[in-house]
Amino acid sequence: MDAERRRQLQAWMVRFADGDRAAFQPLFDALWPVLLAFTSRSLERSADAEDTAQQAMLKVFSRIADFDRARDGVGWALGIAGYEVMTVRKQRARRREAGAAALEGVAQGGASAEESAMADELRRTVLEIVGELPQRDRAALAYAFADEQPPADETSRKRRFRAIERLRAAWRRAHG
Amino acid sequence: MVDLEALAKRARRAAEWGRLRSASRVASAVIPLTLLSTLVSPNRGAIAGVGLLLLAVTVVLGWRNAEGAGAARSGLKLGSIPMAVGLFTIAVEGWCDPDRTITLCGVGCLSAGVFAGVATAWYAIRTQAPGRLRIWAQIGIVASFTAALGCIGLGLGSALAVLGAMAAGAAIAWLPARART
Repeated sequence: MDAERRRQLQAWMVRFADGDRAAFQPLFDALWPVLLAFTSRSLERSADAEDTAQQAMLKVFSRIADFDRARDGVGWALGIAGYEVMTVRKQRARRREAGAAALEGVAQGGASAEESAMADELRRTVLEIVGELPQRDRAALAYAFADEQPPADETSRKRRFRAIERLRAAWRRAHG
Repeated sequence: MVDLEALAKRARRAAEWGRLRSASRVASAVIPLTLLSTLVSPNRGAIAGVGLLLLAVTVVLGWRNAEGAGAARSGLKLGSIPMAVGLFTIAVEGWCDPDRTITLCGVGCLSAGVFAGVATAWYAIRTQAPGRLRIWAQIGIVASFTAALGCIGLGLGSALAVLGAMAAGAAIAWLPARART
């Protein structure tokens, strides 16, 4: 975005924040492509990017009365959009976790003989790779194979994290 | 594909609600002032009415634009001077001799009114904005309602006298200052 466009956007934002309703349309028209470009760069799926840009636009306009005129308007709007992007990413992560949990439930509860055999095979393969890890990592991951609650202290958590990282790396080496 | 027309409508509505929400914060000043006046003053019904009116005026001014919001804040500050004097007069009623035509408390109330009026004009002139007269009127209206919260308990005549003193003070300060600028 060039300096002139940014200055113009700032001027419209200040005018609209001060109560000049006529500044709404030019501000809206100028701000939308900026926010959409930002969310499109931050999120891979275009539908998500559009939804997030819309949410950000609504938040920007609902907070316009509290806009600090001394601040850079574009930076302020992008800050709101950035928060919206973060929210979408968190929601996605939660969905992935929920999906994985549901998958685990299916595997444990209603698995057919074939699915059960596949799960056993997968478990055996993982165990083989875990077996190649150093003793400290094997100990850190042991709870996962014994269906136990992992220790909650910070040191154990860090060890587990490092062990999982090494397990991932070993898995990639073995199976791509 | 995003329907930009629908989004613009929603954004416009969100902006108006945001303005209203922002303007409503003035209630955090108006409600305590009204409650304080209700506690000190005997004329509770009238105070509640004036308080509601003051709340409505300040919210509408704040919702319209930033200039109105600023005027509402200034008006509340300036109007609270004669309001405080009025409430003080009611609270120390025993100090004032009701048999005398001009009591010390009466003079105090009128002086506070004149001071608030002069300050109202000074605030408006200081802004250097093109709509100074409008700003002056907005500050004056809010200051008058705020002053009325404290003075209405003195009786309608006294309250009108204080408001008149405010208007006179504002006019006296406005005319020469306007001529100078």
